Amino acid sequence: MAIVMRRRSVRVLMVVAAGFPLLLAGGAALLTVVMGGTCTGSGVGDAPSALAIRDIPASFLRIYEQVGAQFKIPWGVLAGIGQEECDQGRLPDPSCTPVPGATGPGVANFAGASGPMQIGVGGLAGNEYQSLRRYLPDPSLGPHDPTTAVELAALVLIRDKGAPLGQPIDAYAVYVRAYNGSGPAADAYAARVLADAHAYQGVGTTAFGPSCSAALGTPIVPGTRARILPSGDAAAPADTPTVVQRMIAAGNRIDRFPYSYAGGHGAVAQR
Amino acid sequence: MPPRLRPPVSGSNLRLASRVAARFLLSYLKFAYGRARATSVEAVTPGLRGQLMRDRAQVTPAERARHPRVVSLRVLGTNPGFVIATASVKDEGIAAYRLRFALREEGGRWLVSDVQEG
Repeated sequence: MAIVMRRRSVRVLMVVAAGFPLLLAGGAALLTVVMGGTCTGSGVGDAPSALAIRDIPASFLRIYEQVGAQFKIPWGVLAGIGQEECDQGRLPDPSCTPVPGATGPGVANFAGASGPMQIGVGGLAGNEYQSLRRYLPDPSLGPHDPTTAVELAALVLIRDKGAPLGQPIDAYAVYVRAYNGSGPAADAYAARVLADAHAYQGVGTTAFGPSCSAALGTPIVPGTRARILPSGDAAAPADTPTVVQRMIAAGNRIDRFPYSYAGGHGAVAQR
Repeated sequence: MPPRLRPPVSGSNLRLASRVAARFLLSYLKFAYGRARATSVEAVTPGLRGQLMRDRAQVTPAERARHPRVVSLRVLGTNPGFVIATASVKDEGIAAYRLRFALREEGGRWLVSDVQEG
């Protein structure tokens, strides 16, 4: 009788494997299918337009691209929200100020919105920070930390508003509208965010993710450590050997199949 | 030669609707950018006023800091007593955006009954 395990076990295996690349490199070869290209370095460039490069502070642009790839949301949508909320963190409003490493909810405006992406921390804006922080890589960081702010914005869209993953920019209109609220003013907000997103993301770029991630078939995160994303997939670290990245991508492809000891995945395990 | 159809809204009536649309827009943009209350929006039906007062859109810090201006306003009479208006609005953001709204003639007055994104 097959013993069916939950896919969490597979994910744990993938993270352990990412931490010990040399030990498992041989095993990785067994999991790998033929894939083209290598994905080293930052791996998160997705053809920002000249306007995006000119208008968005470099540090923020990098964060939008990374978080967009991690969460499978078009980075231009996240950048558009950043533009329409706090002018990319440039507004002198204290509730907007980016503070790298800031912990806790931080300074909020009269409605209870905090940080460059104006995440609700209580009051009229709700408390998205409290309900979503457990999904953050570091839950101690708050909405004034730039990376955390953008991660929280992606989480609000996906977990709070029900946005789908990996869709073109225009598919996010209703979710961006809900990010702001309801009614005609929220309609106008969504229209501006999407217009910004198209202007930022440039001609010919319609979907999420860097070309490197697309080639690999799995999201890439900077650094040397893999990360489990809210979607349940593992993001491959950019600065590790290609074989490790491919192994993680292969794990993502099979981790939704049932698994049994000595029975493998797929049809065999399902009997 | 087929007979010309009369426009559903006469020229003079369309000009009147256009003036009402412009008046609405000025007051509406003040509201949308956090500088006025929903009660101060002019020339709207009771239904739309109720919606504006009920809705919970957050005025963002960026919106409060910007000064929107109407780049263009077009009106089109589509049915007797009904006009669609389309405005292009530019603030200090990076892209212009469109607002579309409907006007209805009620009791000899034009009133805006619905607003949505372009």
